[in-house]
Parts: sequence; C-alpha cells; structure tokens
Amino acid sequence: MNKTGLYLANSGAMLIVASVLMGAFIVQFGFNEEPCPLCLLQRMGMLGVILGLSLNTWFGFRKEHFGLVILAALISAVFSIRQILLHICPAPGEPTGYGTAVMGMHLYSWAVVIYGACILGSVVFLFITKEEEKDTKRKPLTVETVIFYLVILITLANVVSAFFECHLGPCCENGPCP
Amino acid sequence: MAFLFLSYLATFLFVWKQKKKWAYTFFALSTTLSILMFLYHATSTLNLNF
Repeated sequence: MNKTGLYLANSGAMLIVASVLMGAFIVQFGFNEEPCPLCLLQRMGMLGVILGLSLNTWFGFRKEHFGLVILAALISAVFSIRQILLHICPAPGEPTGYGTAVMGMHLYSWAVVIYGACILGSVVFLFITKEEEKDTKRKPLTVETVIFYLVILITLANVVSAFFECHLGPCCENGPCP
Repeated sequence: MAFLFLSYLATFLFVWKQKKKWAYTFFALSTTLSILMFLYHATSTLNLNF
C-alpha cells in the first residue's frame, strides 16, 4: 500500500472508533440510558486511541503515536474489565449485566474487543509503515481533515453530555447529579 | 467528568494547531486524571461502581 493509502487507512481507523462513540450516543439518547461513570471513562479511552491516530494525521507516522494508542487502549481495557467483573456474577433476581446488550454483548464487553483490535491494529501499522522524520508536520487530505473535525465535534458533544450528567467533577451516587 | 473531556478537547485542539508538546502534556494530564477518577470511583463508599 502506498503512503496516501496508509494515511487514508489511518483515518478510516479513526472513523471506526469515532463511530463507536456515535453509537454510544445512539444508546444514550435513543434508548434513554444515561452512561454510567465507568462508561464515561471508557469513552475517554476511545478518545485517547483516536488522539494517537490523529497525531499520525498531522505529524506523520511515528512509533510514539502508536505507543500512545496502545497505552490509551490498555488503560481503558482495565476500566472495561473492571466493569465486566462487577457484573459477571449478578445477584439472584437481578438482571445480568448493565444496560442494553448489543448483538448479545454489553457495551463494556464490546469496549474490550475494540481496545484489543486497536492494539492489534497498531501492531500491524507498526509493521507496514515507514517512520517519518522527528519534526515532520504534514498537510492532511480533505477527507482526513473532515474526519478530524468530526472527532472534535464528538469530543465537544461528550463535554456537554458529561457536564449535564456529572458536572465538572466526579459523578454522583446512583445516576445523574441533581 | 466534563473537565476530563474538556482536557481531551484541548488536546485535540493542540494537535490541530500542530503544537505537539502541548498535545502530549494535555494527553498526560487527561490520562492521569482519568486513572485517578477511576481509582476514586473504585474505592469510594458511594455507589459509583456501575
């Protein structure tokens, strides 16, 4: 694959992770499910993954950008696994898991799968890309810029959504803050 | 929580302005704060574990 193709693949990966965040908004507003505190932290992990990929968009392929993707994915996988362990053995009479299951798995279980895919994807990119010079600054293609702006919009939407649910600090007990 | 997302937003804006050092600084800040927030949620006596 040529260089442009690789950068488009990088932006495609950004779009895939961004679409997961948009899916989370569909569950939030479509099914009226307020995101839990751990869910919000997992969304941040997805933003961390996208951040590493967007560094590739603006500064060229560098191994530290993929390092950042792997770091964000690993930390957030811990948050997701914590949530899986909280719900893996429900109390008698209580429903299994938290929230609506999508294609048989809850969102936090899907999150672990996605973080695993991000780590695997980073490994593949590290194998097939040639590292750019240290202080490279590149001018992204229009499609790359559009995807980046979409990501900024999603982040802004998350700021507003989290503010109405938890304000600036930690979340409140048993759901949204009054 | 909104502050953490705001910090990520700032990181993206620094990437857009191609200020890499600031982007790394804000990423480090956001990640550290999210880990601290996770630890608070995990250890708090309030019902925040869901």
